[in-house]
Amino acid sequence: MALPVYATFPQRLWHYSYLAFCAVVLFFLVAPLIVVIPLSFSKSPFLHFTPEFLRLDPEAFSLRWYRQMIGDCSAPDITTVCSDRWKDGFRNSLFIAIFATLFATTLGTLASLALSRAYTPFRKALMAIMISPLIVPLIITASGMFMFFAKFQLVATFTGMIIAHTVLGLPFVVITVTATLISFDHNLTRAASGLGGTPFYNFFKIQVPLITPGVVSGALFAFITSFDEVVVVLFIGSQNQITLPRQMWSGIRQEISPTILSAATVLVILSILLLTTVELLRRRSERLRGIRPS
Amino acid sequence: MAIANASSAPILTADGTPLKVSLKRSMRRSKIQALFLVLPAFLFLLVVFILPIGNLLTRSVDDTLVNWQLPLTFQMIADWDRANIPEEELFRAVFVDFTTVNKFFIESNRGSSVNTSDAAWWVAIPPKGPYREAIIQINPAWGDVVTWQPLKEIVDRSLEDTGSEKDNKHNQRRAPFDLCSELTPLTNATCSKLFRALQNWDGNSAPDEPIFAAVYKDLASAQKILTGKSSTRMNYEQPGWKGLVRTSIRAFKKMEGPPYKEAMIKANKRWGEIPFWESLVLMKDNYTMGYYLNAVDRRFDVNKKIQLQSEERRVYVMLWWRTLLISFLVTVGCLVLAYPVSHLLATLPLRYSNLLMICVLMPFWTSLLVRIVSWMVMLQQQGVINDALVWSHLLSDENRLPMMYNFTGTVIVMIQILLPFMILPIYSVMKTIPPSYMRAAQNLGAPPSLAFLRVYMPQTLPGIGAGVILVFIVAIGYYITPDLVGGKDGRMIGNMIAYHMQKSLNWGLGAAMGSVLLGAILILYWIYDKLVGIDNLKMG
Amino acid sequence: MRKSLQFGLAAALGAAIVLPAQAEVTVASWGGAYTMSQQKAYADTWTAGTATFINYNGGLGEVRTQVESGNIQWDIVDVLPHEARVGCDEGLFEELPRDVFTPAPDGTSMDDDTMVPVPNDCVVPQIFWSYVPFYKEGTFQSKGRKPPKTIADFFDVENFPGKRGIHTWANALIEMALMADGVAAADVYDVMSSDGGIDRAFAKLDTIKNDVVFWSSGSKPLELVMSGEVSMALAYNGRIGAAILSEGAPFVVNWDGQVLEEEWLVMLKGTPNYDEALAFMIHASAPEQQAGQAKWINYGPMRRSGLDVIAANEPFFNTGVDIMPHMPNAGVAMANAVFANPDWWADNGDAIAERFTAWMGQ
Repeated sequence: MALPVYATFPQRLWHYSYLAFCAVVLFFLVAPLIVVIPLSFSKSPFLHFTPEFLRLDPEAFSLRWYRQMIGDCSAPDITTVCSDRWKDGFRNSLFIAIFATLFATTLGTLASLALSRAYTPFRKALMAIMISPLIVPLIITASGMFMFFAKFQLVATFTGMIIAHTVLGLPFVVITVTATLISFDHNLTRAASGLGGTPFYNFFKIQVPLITPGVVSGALFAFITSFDEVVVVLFIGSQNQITLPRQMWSGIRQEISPTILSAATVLVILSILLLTTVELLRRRSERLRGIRPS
Repeated sequence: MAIANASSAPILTADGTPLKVSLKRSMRRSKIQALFLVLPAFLFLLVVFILPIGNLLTRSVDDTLVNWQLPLTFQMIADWDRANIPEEELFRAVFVDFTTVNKFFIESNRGSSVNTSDAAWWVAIPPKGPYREAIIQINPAWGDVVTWQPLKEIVDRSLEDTGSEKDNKHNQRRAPFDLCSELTPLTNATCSKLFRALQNWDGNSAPDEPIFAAVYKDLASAQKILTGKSSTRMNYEQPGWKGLVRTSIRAFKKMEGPPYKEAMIKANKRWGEIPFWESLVLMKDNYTMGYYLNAVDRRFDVNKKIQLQSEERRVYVMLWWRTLLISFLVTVGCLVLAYPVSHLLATLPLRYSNLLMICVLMPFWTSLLVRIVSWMVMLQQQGVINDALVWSHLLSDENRLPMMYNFTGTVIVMIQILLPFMILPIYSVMKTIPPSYMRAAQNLGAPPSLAFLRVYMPQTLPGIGAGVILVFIVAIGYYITPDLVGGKDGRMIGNMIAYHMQKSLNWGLGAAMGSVLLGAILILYWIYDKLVGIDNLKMG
Repeated sequence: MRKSLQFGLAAALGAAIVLPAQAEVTVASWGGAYTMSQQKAYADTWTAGTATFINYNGGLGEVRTQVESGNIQWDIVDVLPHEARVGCDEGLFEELPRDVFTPAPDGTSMDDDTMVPVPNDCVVPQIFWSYVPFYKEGTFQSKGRKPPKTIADFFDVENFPGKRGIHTWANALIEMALMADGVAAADVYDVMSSDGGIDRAFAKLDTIKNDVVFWSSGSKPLELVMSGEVSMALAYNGRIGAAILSEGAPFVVNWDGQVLEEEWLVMLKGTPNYDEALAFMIHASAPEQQAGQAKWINYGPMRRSGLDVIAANEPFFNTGVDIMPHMPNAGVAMANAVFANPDWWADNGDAIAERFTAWMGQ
């Protein structure tokens, strides 16, 4: 995409403004995430940069919001109420997300094995249904589940939360695993069975290793969906199921304190780790399937 | 699996069936196998996703509760001339509907099956008893043992020992609720007296007075709850019903007997106002379209003609337009920002583009709430952007821009949140366009802008289509972001649905708005499927 | 960390499969400093059992599903006046015997000791809180005028320049607009019920429409006034009080034209802990406990005898200052004040909410 040497001045101008525009957009995408990190170390209880902070005055920095987040009450603080709620939230989020991911991945991978084959009856319709939880607005899903689950005593239980999050994670698993399977070269299994492999053996020796990256990245999507979900939690969760996003939500709604910034920083770091994992998996998958980067 | 094996082997079939048949059979087996693989996920979604949403949508037309409360009134109001204050007869029906529990004993007690000339409606159960006679007079079936046995069964079942003390306690606590939901449309009324009375009954002998007394008293308190709930419903149709019912219930207790018309109007002058009677006409069917009309600022008049809602209450159409406008602006904003970036990503050498791709995917993987908090820090009046503008003297301190908690804030934040949904599909299409096309066009003499417009852009249209529809679908149903940053004029229809589901508890209206929204989205989803194919949806 | 995580997973798994045996009372309330005051005044002083406070988001949605499904998580809920009435009407709350509650020292029954009529047998009195205008000391000094005093001044942006912070729903704003327009406190609801009364209120609101900054979370108005973004704002009196009393914030409250709202305790219907919950409610509504809450936050006890306890023991606040001047329902604060009428709002609230939403979005 380099500019040819013979480019005219307007062409150059156009080219550089195009690059500048792209830079601004990319900055727009990432900048807000970065802004919260320094502010989470600020001592002030307001969500803006104080002059002292900008002067890098050591007095203006503190870890108090992190201490409050982990429920360290050794330094009592009159403006804020010290509690374990962030810790509980993290624990509950993790618990719900792990189980929801397990179920979504199992159901979704099984379904994808069929959905990736052209001969499956009602394939398009089934695919549309599998993906619909992604399309239907969360507020509608949540309201529907709220009323329906209430009849079966699933509201305000972990079981209900896990079921709901399994629903929301399923489309991601189906999408990623189906994508992996569609590009899967079925000649490989044919060759294997031609060489005398049993179907069972072939499945585990040939298909499984090749689709594993797809399954894992689908699982990660399902995990982050559950871990980040707040609408359903608001409707069918209760205090016992308070999750990290729910805690952040009430933090934003009721008492804006920089503790949410420390939680945000932790989450940004977590998402960087997850993103890196997915990226590495994707590359591994491409290598395994012999797809060369173009 | 078996499929591969079966399709590669059948050169010769042992039993001599033709290859075609054999192939067909193996194909059918594969198909069944495939269906079994999808079945668990399908059933799961059916039960915990599709059914709940269907159930929600039925609420948007359901009007049964108020029809339970006012069977006689609704039957008789059909004959009302709709111009003058109704006659004594209708007042009497209202009085009876509010003060007697006869309806729970009469079999054909709903909708058009109500027979007003049936004397059972007018039997007066003496408030202090004896009850048995009167109740049997209303419906002789209540004198039969078999009518009571199902209720006795509920009681017996709750007293069975489950082995866990906690479960036993829970079952016994729920049994009075179950009894009442057997006898009434309510799930939160308790028939505790009946529960106790039935415990002492052997289940075979003719039920005696204490059982009748218990059922009467429990139904009387259930009736109170039914009144509370239906007056909430009636208040949606005509503000003021709640107060009217509340004060009237007190006044009814003091009324000796007919005539009721004058006494009721004296107790509350609203009984003499036509709009209240008109609103009753609108509720007299078990199913109503009223919530849907309300969701678009319309209402039925007394002749079931659709009218505009009174001017100061027109708010939903504005919200629908605003929702569309926000979704549109967000979609256009995303497209404008995404197109050049996707182009850059698609044309840069891989090692650079991979790095930039991380910038795109990063927000995608970061918690939605984190992004919202970040934007609050950036955009609020004491925020980073305003600080920077003031510091650079582009803005005076008094004129800091309001960019948060309003329309602008919602649009900016939603654009950032949804941008990856636009970049990814456009990028994946651009990636497949060989750069030689542009070069060829230019070599043939086209200026770059023309080459771009005529050669490059048309090829990217599928990506644009995919991105545009996807972003629009997701944007139109947004709730959390507008809720937190919307402020005065950045709230969307999703927020209104949540308000009616959680706060005002007008579930009918919430469900009606939900179905309209869902309908719109399903149409877009269908278009998306036609244009792009849902299997082409990719995640990063 | 790992250990606590394991423990957490085990505990969470336990909760999913077997519900924990509830030997204690769970109270759902609003969180923050308010719930802390309830914890200190009611729960910490209750020796007969333990009461755990949890936060909820208001509304009856959750209560309704808990009662109707029989999956009861909360025993007691702290509700607003509207919910107290609707919930009792619709059978979501237990109706409580009235004679078990502690009478005032002079023998007046609890219901007669309550400053507003008790609407039904489901509720037990809690506190009054109010919407009240306030500003930062010195805001209007530099402009060489007298500081604002009345509710009319709040609606007067010409003489008291600067933006106004108001909430995003109609309650209290209608009443205040009418009082600012010259309606006497006692007549506010008559005017609201009369033809054109609501139009008059909206016309008054229109006069500040262009100078309004809306808030929806209780801490926001303090931030708005503190940073100078608005010159005056409406806020919950307890939030302003906490800032003044605990942090020494330079805020001035104008009690004139305040609108007081009730706060009640109710018991969920069908709770397995009926007896324990009732015992807790008896404890929490006794005059001593009613007063005790004012040690931690300046919301006013609903019972007159509660106010008497406070007045007799000044300085009563935990920091050692007098709290009576900060009570919304006593002394000078009541000179020109309105008790919100929940029955009026039950009839007209939905229609007004729609109109107000339309007004905000114009």
